[in-house]
Amino acid sequence: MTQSTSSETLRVGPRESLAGYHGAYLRVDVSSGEAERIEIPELILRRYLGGAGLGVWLALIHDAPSVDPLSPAAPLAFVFSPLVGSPLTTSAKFAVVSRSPLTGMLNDALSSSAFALAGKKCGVDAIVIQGKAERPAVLVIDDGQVRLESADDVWGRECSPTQEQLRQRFPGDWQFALIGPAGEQQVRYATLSHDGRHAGRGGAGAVLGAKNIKAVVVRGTQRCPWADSAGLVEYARSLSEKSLGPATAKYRELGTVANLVLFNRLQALPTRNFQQGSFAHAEQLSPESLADSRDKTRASCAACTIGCEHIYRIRGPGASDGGSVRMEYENLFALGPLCDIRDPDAVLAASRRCDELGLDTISAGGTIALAMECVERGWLDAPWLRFGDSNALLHALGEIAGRVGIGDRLAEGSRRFAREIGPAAYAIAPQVKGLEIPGYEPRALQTMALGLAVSTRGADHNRSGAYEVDFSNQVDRRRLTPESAVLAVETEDKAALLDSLILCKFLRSVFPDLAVESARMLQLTTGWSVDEVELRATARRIINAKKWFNMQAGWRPEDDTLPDRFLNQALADDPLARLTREQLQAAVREYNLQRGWQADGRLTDDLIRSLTQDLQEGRVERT
Amino acid sequence: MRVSVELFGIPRRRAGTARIDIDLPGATAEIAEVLLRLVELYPALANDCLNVAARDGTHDALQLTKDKSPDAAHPLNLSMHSSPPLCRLAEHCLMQVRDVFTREVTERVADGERILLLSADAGG
Repeated sequence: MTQSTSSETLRVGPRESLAGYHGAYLRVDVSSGEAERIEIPELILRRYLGGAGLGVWLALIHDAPSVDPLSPAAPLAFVFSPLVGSPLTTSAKFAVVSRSPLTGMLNDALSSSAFALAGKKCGVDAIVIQGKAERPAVLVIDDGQVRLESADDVWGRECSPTQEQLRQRFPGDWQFALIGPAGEQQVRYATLSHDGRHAGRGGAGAVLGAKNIKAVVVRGTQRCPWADSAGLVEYARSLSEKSLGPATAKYRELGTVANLVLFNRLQALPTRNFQQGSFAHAEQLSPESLADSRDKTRASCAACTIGCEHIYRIRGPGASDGGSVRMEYENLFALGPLCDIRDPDAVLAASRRCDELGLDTISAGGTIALAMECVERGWLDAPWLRFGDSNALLHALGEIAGRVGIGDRLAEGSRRFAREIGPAAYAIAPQVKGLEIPGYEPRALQTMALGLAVSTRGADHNRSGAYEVDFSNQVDRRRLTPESAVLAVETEDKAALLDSLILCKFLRSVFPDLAVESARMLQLTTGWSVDEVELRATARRIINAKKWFNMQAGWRPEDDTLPDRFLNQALADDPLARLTREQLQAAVREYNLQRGWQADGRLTDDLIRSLTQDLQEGRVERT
Repeated sequence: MRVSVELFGIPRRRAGTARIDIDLPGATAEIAEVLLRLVELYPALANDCLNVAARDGTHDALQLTKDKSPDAAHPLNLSMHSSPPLCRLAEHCLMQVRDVFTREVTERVADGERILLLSADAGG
């Protein structure tokens, strides 16, 4: 089974001076099978924390902005954090960071599972993969040993069968991050799957697939010490109790699918490729309706007390059992209203197909919805691909994952597909910087419109929580003003902190002051005398580093905008939901100034100098 | 006058219905009055969605949070106090009135108006 091995002993244990961290990352070259353990300066850990923050630093020192993300030289980083392995609820998370093959910009996809726990127990704070295996392979990291094994028995298989097969081959404590057929085919929005969950956005699965790696398999025994174990346990107990309170009740009891009927009522539910903000059949997709006639169970991520996962049984043809699927608002909207699919079982089945094929549901739904509108307008000769046709949706998903027929073009994402069709299609492509827009109609939620336009990852609801501002009494959600910019900045800073610690965003309302509580958690885990002032600066530094990555990867100021469809054209079912190009540009300018950047969004020389110093701390030669 | 209250998220789950029509005397009413009538009709909305307290602050919502029985939310429980009750939104709930999100319960609504009562946590 062994394809090639590198038996370098990497078990060296955590650096004595560090708590919460091992103080090193593992760099694996899958071309040669060689690996090396590289120390990370404590200064860098303190300045970038972990997860998305440490990930962007790693991506920068490995020159990710300047290499094709699907080339062997491209680095793909699995990044843990100081809180991974602690008793803090929701802390079993990791970030997957690379240059995105979909956007060409920085991509940091986060997920939760025991993979994070097992990965950190390998004795490192991150795993950076470069190179390309000669044949399809499984990368095995066993405590301190790295080897490549053949993937012949799982290559071509879908995500669940792959995990089951690997589970048989690697029984016990092993954990897996793997790709489905979409990743193998380098679909630009392929996911990384583990335990049925996905690091979903931006195409991390394609990056791993381009390296001929079907799965990363990890187990370990190395634990980090905590600076104040007793204090950490006490804090964790209190946080767990709070996590079961009213701040998370919606997620526990209903799941994020509950957003759909509210967004529909507010004309904020993207429908028929953003042609409308409401969907006549939304109530059929409400949590109450979904649970009314099919079994539903709840589950949690590893080490989570919230339990937001709502898993629905799918009724197949003739009321047969179609399996089950985790449902979130984003897959519900993208594979339902966005494609005008009203049959709940069809939406559930499409979501399950995406999970099995390893496709990002938002990008898949957005790209297919664009194609459906192109067919409707006579710009695309694919008469079978009609809005509202659930069989067409399922067929298209299969073609995308296999890059068969029109699927080969749709596998490139909505931006590339639209460019191929023509300028009119580009104007209605539901994307920013190439990343498909999540389920927030920008004209109905205009602070979010700003957040979508400026986010370094592209149209994104996880790196910008600006919708929180729209759902408050702080702004008029349908009238964007420059004053909203400071609020959008605050939500991004909070997200950067949560994504680097890493903790679940559903905890955000549990903390009276996120930076204060984050400082306390870091004190207990690392022993650092960190405070909220430092952490607010850390959040800004991380966002600056992301921007620096993008500037080197080809970002231009004009990329911070929305497609023409959303500018100067009111929402069809809400004439008051109108956003002008000038409004957006003024808000973007103010956002840039609030960040301390130049008005056009470029970093100042001082900021670049500071970031460059951080990079010199860990610069490595490109393999 | 009649005001319609549409419920979303946890308020809908607690009440077990998507819409409730509230009838009150007069041509207009404080939102607080509408919410008080709402919690009277649907006591399960108390605590997680709506809090009832004495207007003058002499009696806060503590009693309601300590006593989890449905009857605890009934405004009659406050009738022994000299100050009339005031119904407010719980921390994680929000309203939309006349297309604007608000937490202000002293605003007035008129016959035919709608109040949307929702979970404030919108993320997905």
